[in-house]
Parts: sequence; structure tokens; C-alpha cells
Amino acid sequence: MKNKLQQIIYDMRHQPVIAWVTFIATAISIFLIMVVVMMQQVKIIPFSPESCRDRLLVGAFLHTAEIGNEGNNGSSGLSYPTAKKLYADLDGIEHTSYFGLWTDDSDVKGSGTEAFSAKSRRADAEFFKIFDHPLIEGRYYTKAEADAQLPMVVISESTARKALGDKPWAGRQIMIDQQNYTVTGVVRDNSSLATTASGDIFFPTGPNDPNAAWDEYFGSIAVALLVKEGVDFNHIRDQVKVRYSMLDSELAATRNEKTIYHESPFDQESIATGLMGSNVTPDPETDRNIRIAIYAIMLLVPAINLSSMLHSRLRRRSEIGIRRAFGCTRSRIITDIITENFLITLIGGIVGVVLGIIFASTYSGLYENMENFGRGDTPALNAIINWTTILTAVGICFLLNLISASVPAWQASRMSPVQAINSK
Amino acid sequence: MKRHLLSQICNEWKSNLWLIIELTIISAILWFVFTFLCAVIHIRMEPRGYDLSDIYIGEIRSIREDSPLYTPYDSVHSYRTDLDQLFAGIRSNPYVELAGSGSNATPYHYNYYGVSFLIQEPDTIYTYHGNLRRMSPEVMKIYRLEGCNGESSEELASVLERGEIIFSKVEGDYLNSYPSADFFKGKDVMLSSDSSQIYRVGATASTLRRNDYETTYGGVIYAPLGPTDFPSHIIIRIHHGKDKEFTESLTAADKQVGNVYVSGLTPIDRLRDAAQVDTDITIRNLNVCAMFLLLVIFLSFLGTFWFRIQQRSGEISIRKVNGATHINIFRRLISEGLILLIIATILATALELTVTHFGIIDIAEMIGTDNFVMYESMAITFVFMALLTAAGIWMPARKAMKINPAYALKDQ
Repeated sequence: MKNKLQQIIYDMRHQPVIAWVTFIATAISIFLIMVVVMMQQVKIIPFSPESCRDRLLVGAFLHTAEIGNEGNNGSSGLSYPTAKKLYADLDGIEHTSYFGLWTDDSDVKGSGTEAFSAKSRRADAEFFKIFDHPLIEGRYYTKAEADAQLPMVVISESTARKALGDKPWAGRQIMIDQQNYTVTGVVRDNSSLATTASGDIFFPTGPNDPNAAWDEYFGSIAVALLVKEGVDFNHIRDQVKVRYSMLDSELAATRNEKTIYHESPFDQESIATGLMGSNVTPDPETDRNIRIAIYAIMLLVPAINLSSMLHSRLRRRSEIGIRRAFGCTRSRIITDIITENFLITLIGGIVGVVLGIIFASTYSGLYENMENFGRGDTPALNAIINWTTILTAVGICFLLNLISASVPAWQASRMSPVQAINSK
Repeated sequence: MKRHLLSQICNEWKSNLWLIIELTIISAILWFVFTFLCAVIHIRMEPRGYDLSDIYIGEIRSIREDSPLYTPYDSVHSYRTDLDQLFAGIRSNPYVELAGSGSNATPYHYNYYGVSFLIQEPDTIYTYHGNLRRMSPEVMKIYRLEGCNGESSEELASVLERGEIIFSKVEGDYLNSYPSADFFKGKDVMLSSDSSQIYRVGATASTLRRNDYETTYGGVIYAPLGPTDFPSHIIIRIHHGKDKEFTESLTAADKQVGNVYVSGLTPIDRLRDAAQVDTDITIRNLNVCAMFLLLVIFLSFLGTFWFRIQQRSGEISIRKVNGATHINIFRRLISEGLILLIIATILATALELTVTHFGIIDIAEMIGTDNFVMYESMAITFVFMALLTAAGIWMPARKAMKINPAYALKDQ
């Protein structure tokens, strides 16, 4: 290994331009790939308040069409009764929560403070059993309180501080959208990157929430399902499909309509696509293919480049000829070149990964969407640095090295000793 | 000279083959990226037919009866009188040019209120489908909306004042399936199949889109607010460049009268940025991708020609000894790079045309414009790649110019 490092250092000093070109191309390539990987990680891996992402399914939206005339169709969120018909009491579910999928902008005003805007979300009592919003003060509202639509709220620490000043906050009055509410609990601030569960203010919702229903079937409700350990998501979906067919019969009889099914409830990979419309089936596969294409481009293009340069560099190394003349096997030469190149790639890769982590943890623009626009939230380091990202980084370095070094190494091993020594 | 250059390229075929493969792949990817970016620029540059500068939009909200802040009404006052008073106050602000209200009347908001209007004749039904936007007549003037037949926004406002409706130009998928908006002009149309709701189409106008990138799903129907409709948004045009003065001059009393108040009054630029963040991120990502690929080309030529010049220092020296000038040497190396690029461009163009011909990538669907953009982006790709090729060869070529024949040939 010491010899190889000496060889690399000698090569870099002897060919500084080429060494830098190789180094920069590797670092940028790994940097960009890692940024894409980390952007996706933030959407997929569990972190507070969505530590349950591995076991989370979200049932959202209803799309109906007139029987025989599908052009006449409508779609929106669910009303509470429809949400119950489709998702209540499913087998294999630990907790079921009825909540608002999107946040609203609410005007908040405390005693003697200026009004400010905060993100509010409707959520029932079970919501806090699925998503981890740790309490700092007070308690969550109960199911009975939520069902009775009592004017209570759970708010985040920074909202409490801004509206009410110093502790204690629980039990005090706060004005939200010109209505008075009692603060029952204060939870830790949460990241808006957790698009399903984040919020500054949580209002109780339930069967009697007047703001959650447009009509009998449509409204603004979605359902979060915490699946029991070891239960297959398809087992849940199969049950939901049966519920859909029951709803179909009901709609056919009452409104001459039928449902159009869009693979709800959605797992985290589908949620990560952004759930762009209530009449659209999320397509995580296309997103995945686009990412694979990006990785392929970012890997293949510099790999061809590096391969071409390595090929030229190896042609000038008479040492290969001398080793061959003294009986070194071809496979040994190939292994040595690939190992040596891997070290250079790894150094470039480490720089690329470090730059990627700094960039991904400081530049909020990577994660912006309509829901969190202007919030400037960046992920905590533990959301982007984990075994998946580290192994991906090492794997990508190895792959880049293998693609770029294998052909030139094979060619160098086939060079005749006379030719190799002559090319000096 | 040129023939010798080609022979030389053939002699170095192994490393040139690598370069050509790399250039072909990059060229094809860049073409795809530039096609998308060009299409976006074309869509953005199309005349809109309205002007959204200096506009502020806010939500109109009301205090419910169960709120402690609710002020009970007497027989004279109501939510409506509060609303009128609130507008009167805002209109009297010296920095406000116009103020209006509407429901689903604002751009950069993803509501879609789809309705169909029909003309039923004995043997045919003519349909116009679009997004229903209800607004007070001032909004026409606030947006400076243009009529399809040269009508001014004042004339369009007077159409709404008469209680008539306005259809917009039909766009997108519906272009060929419905009659044009002008077909309906001056005629009475029926809302869906409700024969009690008949409206006259008083004019046709530009299409107020939901964002700057998408085409509309059908058209847009501009309709006046009904006497009992409570608007959801306030739309204000301020005097140009008076943003700071306007926001500072607004007091809490201006934003609330009785039980009606304005929430989240925001400049339209910010609403646009929020609404278009997904498309803007895609554009940013494609720009980064293009820059990365161009950098790779630069590094690739830099590295390859650096070696080549080291290997060919003898040949370059002999040329110099035989009278070649610095410029000759420089030009020869640049020409070599450009010839490789031309070969790669021919291969990439063949690849692009094949991909498009067999519909593997549906450019028309992707960009929603004609094929001109496709050819335009081919040209842009070549120009960018040629520039970066020249930049990559520049440093090695300058090094070659400075080769001293006496040193380079001392071993010969």
C-alpha cells in the first residue's frame, strides 16, 4: 500500500495538470451524485416528526366520475365520513389518524404582540401517536375534545414564544385567524421538510369539524395509517380496494357515479413524488428512473473522460514493461492499476462527499416546494449522513473507478514489455 | 494541410474514439437539456396579453359569529357594508392605483373551477370549457388584460359591468376540439345543462394562466361577481415603484373594517416564486447538469491535449523548424478539436433524430411547442460545445506554441 501511495504522489507531482483534472472531475461528479442522493434521502428516510416513515401509509383524495361519461369527473380531498368508510378499522393498523394533508397560512396574535403568519394543520388526537411531536409543556388535546371541536390548539415552541412571550404557555389564550383558542400543549419546533406532519399550529379536527367537508364525500381530510410491524403494505391496500368497491356501489346507487382508484394509501416513496393532484396516480417509478438516468450520466460521462486520460497516462509508464519483463502477471498489473486508481478516486470522492454534505445541509433551495417555500429549512445532519449515504458514496467511487480504470488497465497489461519501455 | 490533419486524427484513433464517444453522449444530453430550456424561454417570452407588475394580492376573511371579536350587525350594516368600507379605505390610499376583488381570480394559485358553457342547436351542441374566474370589473384594468380583437382593459371592464361574460383564447389540448372563443362572441350561452343560467359572451380576451409555464386546460371564463357573492381575494395595483411606501402606509385599521379583514397581503412576485418553485427547481437542476457536462468537456480536452502535446513535442518542433508560426500550431490544434466535435455532432444529431422519430422521447409533448425549438437547441448545443472545446485546448495549445525546438529535439 505504501508503494502505491508513493506511486500516486510521484504521478501527481510528475503530471500535475492531469492529476488535478482527474481529481476535480471525480470530486464534482461524486459531489453532484451525492447531492441528488441526499435530496432523495430527505424525502424518504425517517426523521422527527416523521420517524414512522417506514411504517406509514397515507390515504388521500377521492376521484369520482359519472358512469358512462368519465369526462365528467371531479376530485378533491376526503370528507370525514368518506375517510372513515375507506380507511377506518383496517386489519394490521396500529393507529389511524384523520388530518389535513396540507398546511394553511394562519394569522396568529398573542396578547399585546403584532400579528404574524404561521403554518396551521388540522389533526385529530391520534395524529400525535403516529408522528413524534415531543411535548415541552402541557398536553395534547384528547379525542373527546377534538370530536367536540373545543377551541384548543397545540403549537410549536417558536410560535408560543413569538405570540406569548415567556413560559408558561400552556393554558393561555391565543388568537388565530381572529378566533380565541386555549393552548393545551407546546411541542418542539419541527422541520417543514417533513411535509406530512410538520406545522406550527395544530387544530383539532373530527367528525364535527365544519371546515373539513365540502360535501358528503369531498373535503380536506386525509388519513395517516401506522402499519403494525411486519405487516405487508399490500395487505392494507387490498382491504382498501374492497372498501373502494363498496363505495362504488353506494355512489352508483345515489349519484350514478363511480370512483377512480389511484393506488391509495400511499407509502413514503409515493408521498415523496409530491402528491401533485387528487386525480393523479403517484408515479415513484418514473422519478426513480429519472434519478437512475442522472446517476448514469454523472458517472458515465466523467468515467469515459477519466478512462481516456488514464489510458494516455499508462502508455507513458515504462515501469509496467519492466515488471512484465521480470515476470509479473497480467492480472497483478490490472489489480494494481485498479487499486491505485481507486485510491485517487476515493480521495476525490471524499472531497466530493464532504462538499456535498456541506452544501446539502446549508442550502435550503434543494428542498423547496410549494408547501415549505420561503421557510429556509435545511435537514439535520443525521437525516443526510447515515449508512445509506456513506455506502452509496463508497459504492459510487468504486463503480466510477471500475468503469474508468478497467479498460485502460486491461490494455496496459496487454502492452508488450518492449513497447512499454520504448514509450518512455 | 487539412488532409494531413485528418490522417493525424486517424493515427490517434484510439484516444480520439474515446473523445468522440464522450462528445456524442454529452451532445445528446445537452441537446435534451437545451430543448427543455429553450422551450421554457419561448413560453416565457410569448406575449401574455396582461401585465402583472406592481400588484398585491391578499385574502379577504371574515370574523365568525362565535368569535369574541365579532361585532354584531344592526339592520343597516352587514358583511357587505364592511367590505365596501374596507375597499373605500384602500382605494383612498395615495399609493393605490386600483383595487378590485374576485374569487378564483388570481394567477399563481392552483385552483381550477372547471365549467362548461353550451350553445344548443337542433342538431349540434357547441361547448366551451374553461376555468371560471369571477371578479369585479376593476380587476380587468388591474391586470391590464387585452381583448383578442384589440379591446382595451377599460372596454373589457365595461363588459363585466353590463353583467356579460368574457371567454379567453382556447389553448392546449382543447385547441382543436372546441370552436374558437370568437365563435361564441355576441351569443347567449347556457351554463352546463342548466337552462335557467344564460349569459351573453360580450368579448374575448387573453388567457390569465395559473402559472407562467403551463397552458390552460381549455380556456378561461371571466365573469362578474354576483350581488351576493363574497369574494375570496383582494387585488390591488399600486403606483409603479411605490412598494415600500404602500406597505408602510397601510395600518391595521386599513386592513380591517368591522368583521371583514385582509390577510397575507403579498406582492405578486412572491406568489409567483412560490407557485412556480417546482418548475424553477427543474430549470435550475437542468442548468447545473448542463454546466457540469460542459465542464467535463473542458477538462476532457484539457487532459487529452495536454498529453498529446507532450507526446508530439517532436513533431511540433519539426514543424517550427520548417517555418510554422505560433499561430499555425495553435490553429492546427484547435482545428483538430473542432473536427472531432463535428464528427461527434453528426453522430449525435443522427441519434437525436432517431430518438425523436421513433417517439422514444416525445419532444412535442415535453415542450408543448413546435419542432423549431428542437433544431434551435441543436445549434445552441454545438456552439456551447465548440466554445468549451476551444477553451479546453487553449492552454495545451499555448504550451505547444512555446515549445523550443532545440530542447525538444535534443535527443533526436
